[in-house]
Amino acid sequence: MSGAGETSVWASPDDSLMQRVADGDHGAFELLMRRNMRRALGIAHGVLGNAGDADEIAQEAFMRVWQHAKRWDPDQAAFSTWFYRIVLNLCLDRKRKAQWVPLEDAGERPDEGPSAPELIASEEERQAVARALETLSERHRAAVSLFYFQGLSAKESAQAMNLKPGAFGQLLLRARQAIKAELTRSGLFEETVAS
Amino acid sequence: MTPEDFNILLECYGADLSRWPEERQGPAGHYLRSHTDARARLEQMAALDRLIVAAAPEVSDARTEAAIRAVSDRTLALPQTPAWVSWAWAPGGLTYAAMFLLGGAGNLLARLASQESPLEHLFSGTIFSAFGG
Repeated sequence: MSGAGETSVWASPDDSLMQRVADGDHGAFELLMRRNMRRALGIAHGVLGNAGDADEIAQEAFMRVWQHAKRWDPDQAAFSTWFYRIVLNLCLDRKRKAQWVPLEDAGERPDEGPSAPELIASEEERQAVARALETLSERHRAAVSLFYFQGLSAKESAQAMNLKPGAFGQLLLRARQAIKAELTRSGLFEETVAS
Repeated sequence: MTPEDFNILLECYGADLSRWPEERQGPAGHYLRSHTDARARLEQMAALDRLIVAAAPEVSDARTEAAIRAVSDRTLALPQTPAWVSWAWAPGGLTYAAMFLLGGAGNLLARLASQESPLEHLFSGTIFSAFGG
């Protein structure tokens, strides 16, 4: 529906694509998925702690985008904010129905390359962070997932979680302190600082 | 900026000052230049940042592609919805209420047309017979 000249009025390419998706343009929807699926998978995986559930959540989130595209209001929120909220809400719903699966119990990681001795230390660190995340609520994990894992700004992360910046900062502080405590307890944090 | 402020923000947002809230970045940079101990603290937190970021779930190209294909297939398999249907369902509860009322009115008209009182069945003997009435 939008010509080349019209797209410039949108805040981002995603917003422009989303307008076309609302008109039933499946090609635009595919492009939107290509731009955002990896991040959706990453956010969900960070919150839920396992790949299988994360895959289902990311797919369901895009199904909702397709089916409810007309509900997106560009005056209310950027597509990214709206979409991350869908992903996070689906994650929170899933967490209410199932318990957190620690990383070491989550089965084979689908994305790992071949294991090597030099990777053992980093895997220990990874598992220590996972243990720390396990002790936190899904909201704390969501804060870590958005800000640290996905690299969103504090403002974007707070908007995605529908929080004021100060409240988001509190979540992040608590989560980071828990991770630091677990890494320190495991003797991994000091080792890293000393080396 | 006080040392307490600096440490709390450092604990919260990590060692990359460019990721701190914009209004805090300038004062934090100034604080850092004037406090040598803050530099050591920053480096320590940078190490923690690296550990946290390294724990981020990895998402492969193949996994991403599989998810895109799965959603694409599911959406293409959905029945095409005529525009008027989506319009009719958009108001949600209002539409349901209107349909309910229309259904009730239709039922009433049908019973009147067949000479049957719409409420007759409520007071018929059969409803009481089960209780010995």
